[in-house]
This record gives sequence, C-alpha cells and structure tokens, in this order.
Amino acid sequence: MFTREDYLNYFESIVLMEKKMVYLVADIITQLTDESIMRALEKVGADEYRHYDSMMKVIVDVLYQGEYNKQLELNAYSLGEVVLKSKSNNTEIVGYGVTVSDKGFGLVTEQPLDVDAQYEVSGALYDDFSEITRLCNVQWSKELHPAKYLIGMQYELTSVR
Amino acid sequence: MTKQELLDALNECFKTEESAIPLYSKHINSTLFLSDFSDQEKKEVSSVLKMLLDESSMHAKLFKGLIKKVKESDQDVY
Repeated sequence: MFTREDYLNYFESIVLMEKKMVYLVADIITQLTDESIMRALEKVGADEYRHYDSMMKVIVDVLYQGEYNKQLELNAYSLGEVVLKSKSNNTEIVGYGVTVSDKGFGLVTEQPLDVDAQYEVSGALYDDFSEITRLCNVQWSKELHPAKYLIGMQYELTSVR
Repeated sequence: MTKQELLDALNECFKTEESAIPLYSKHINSTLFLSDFSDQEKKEVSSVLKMLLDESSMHAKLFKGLIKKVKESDQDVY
C-alpha cells in the first residue's frame, strides 16, 4: 500500500527532476549564439516548465486539495536559504537555492532580477555544508508563478568569502 | 559556447532525461498505485505521468539527435 508520504515523495522527486531540467536547458540557452539549436532548446525548456507546473498542480489538487502553500514548497525543496546582496546598491533579498554546480547557482526569489546584475550570494546549502559566499552575475530570470522567479546565476571568476 | 562545452551540456541533459523516464513509468501500470484516490484524481495523475513519459522520451531522442549533429559538424563555436 502507498501512504500519503510515499505519494508526496514520489511527486516531489518528479518536481525536482523537472526543475533540474529547467536549469540545465536555460543555462545552455544563455550561452548559445547558434539560433537553430537555441530554438530547439527553447521548445524543450518550455515543455520542462509545463511539466513542472503540471506536477505541482497534481500535488496541490490531489494531495493538498488546493490548500497547498507554495512557500512550503520553496522551503521543502530548496537546498537552503541564501541572501543576495546587490553590489550596486547594497540592498539584500532572500532566495532559496535549488541547484548548485561548478558554474553557478539556481535560485528561486520573490522578485525578478536584472540580467547581468551582480550580487554577493551567501548561504549554507544543506545543513552539512559550511556557509559559502560567491560573487555572481544574473544570467537569466524567469517568472514561474506570480511573485516566484527562477534565477540562473553564474560565479564571477573572482569569488569572495 | 565551444563545441565541447555544448556537447558536455547536451550529454548532461540527455542523461538526465533518460534517468527520468523510469521514474515516470515506475507506477503507470500498477493497479495499486493511486488506489486511494477518486477516479477523477486517478485520471489527472495518470494523464500527467503519461505526458511526462511521452515528452521526456521525445526530449531524450532530440538531445541524442543534437549531440550527433554537433559531433559531426565542423562548427567550433555555438
């Protein structure tokens, strides 16, 4: 028999997979100049967003009967809270890490960020990671839900601690 | 983006799509799966899982095709 937790774990693992694909494809698109490959990947990227949204709708409709709090999703699926400090005006915003790689971070924020804007990103990704701080540039920003944005950030060559 | 960087990135996408396919198909034909849900809910979940399975299989083929195309091309920068 499947428990509610089994279903939630299963659906969440699909959400994470789709989110990973969104980031992988978006990261390639931002670096491409070849239009034919860019067009093909834009279609795949749009599909991945739709997959993510469809699976989230399943979680909301089937497991939470429409009462699912998106903030819970952000907390539950994120790698941890991160603070983004703008290098241009020192303002700070809070985001949630969703992917990390040797090139940069994938984040969710509650506001869009300007492409090429520079931020100092600090956070403890997972409990067993020591806090890390990196200087990053915004590569892309995409609205996922109202007031929820997926952000791709790339490390600056000179990182800070 | 260099040819090798693009190939590495496309290979990562291909591997991720391929690894997702068994995840989507895992319960699709199980009679026990979703047995606690209403017919309407079963229909909604099954329909989404089927869409994910079909489209991810299609994406994996697309990535495989792009990898082949890039590998065989003389183009160095993308």
